[in-house]
Amino acid sequence: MVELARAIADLRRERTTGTVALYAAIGAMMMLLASLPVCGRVQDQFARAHHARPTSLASWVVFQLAPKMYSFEHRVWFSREPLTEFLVTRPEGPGVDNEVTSINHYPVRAARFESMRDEIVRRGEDVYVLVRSAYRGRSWVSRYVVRVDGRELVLEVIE
Amino acid sequence: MSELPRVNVRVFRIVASAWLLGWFWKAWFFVGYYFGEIWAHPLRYGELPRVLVHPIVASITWASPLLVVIAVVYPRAWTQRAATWLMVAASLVACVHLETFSDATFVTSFWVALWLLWFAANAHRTDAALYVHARVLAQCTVGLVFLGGVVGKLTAEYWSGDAFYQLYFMQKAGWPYSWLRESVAPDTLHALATWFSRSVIVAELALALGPLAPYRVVAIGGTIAMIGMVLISTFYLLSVMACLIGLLIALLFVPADPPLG
Repeated sequence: MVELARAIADLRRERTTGTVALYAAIGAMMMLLASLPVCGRVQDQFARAHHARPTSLASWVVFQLAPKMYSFEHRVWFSREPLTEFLVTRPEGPGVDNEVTSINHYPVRAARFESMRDEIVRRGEDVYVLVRSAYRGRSWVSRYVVRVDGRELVLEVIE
Repeated sequence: MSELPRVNVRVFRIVASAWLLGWFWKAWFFVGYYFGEIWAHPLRYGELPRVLVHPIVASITWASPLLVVIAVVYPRAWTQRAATWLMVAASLVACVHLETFSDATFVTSFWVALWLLWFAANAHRTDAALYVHARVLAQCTVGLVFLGGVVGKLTAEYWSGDAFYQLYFMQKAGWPYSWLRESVAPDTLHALATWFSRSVIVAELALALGPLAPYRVVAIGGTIAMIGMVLISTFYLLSVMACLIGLLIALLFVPADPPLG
């Protein structure tokens, strides 16, 4: 507390642009983070960042710079057939052949298939991915399909 | 010889070296990924601008901080400034590119790079105010990172331990989690997960409040806590923590409690 008080006292005495700018950047991000538990719109934007579905480039940049390690709970389902939230959350499960995993943050990275792209391309089948994130009683679901196009993978959001 | 004060050169070298250690900690995987797999099988994704999906941007972004080594070896004012601009730019792009966005390494790297950019811009100074702000800004940087972690866990899924139960106690392959799965009853395992999760939340909250504590307490306590997190999680986590640990340790070597002018 003493060092923080000394720093504030010095800022009052002499304001250096770069120093003020760095305090302002950190302070603004801290306020954004502090609003997360109570602000639904901020929660929506964080969920969109976790799902790589930003509303704009600016929001993508801002919310990507927000530290969010092990934030929200994320589950990811993979299937060769389309999945819905109803199918994966009903007690008896999806009822189709699927894999499910938990991911600490940025769950849509599972749809990038790191170290598995060769296999996905060789198989040549579409893979359906459902991501469900939960935070303070709310949930967000995104559905994707990964299609094989030649040697490329096309990741598409299913609206 | 560098024209910069020796104490500042030492701080720069420690922070930049720790930053590079974290950035390239998983190089054994990323070399193959950024120079092999994403070129052999590129991704297309319409939700982001094409430049933030293209493999060449990911490859250059990840490899370019190698140039920072020049500033560590030859610490001149201009090499330090160029290096820190490069570190900020690379980590910023890495945070928003589809092939790199999911690695928390790049988020901590960005905030520490921003601190280092500020420090390099003031590297000729040795006045008391510089070191007071250097320490407080470092505490705020570390506090910011853990504030992000703790607010994201203020939810029933983490307080009950369910999230960590799945992530660590059910899914993690290494010791002690594989041993616990074999040795402990499911109910006990879940109770362990609950207390584990609550301990993480309390530890992150303490680190988030770091700016309010004395510097030495945060530097030493924070370093021990982060090393503990690496040990109970995975050594890959050092890629995220190395730059924060380097930042805290480096500032233990600047003049303590200098009188302000």
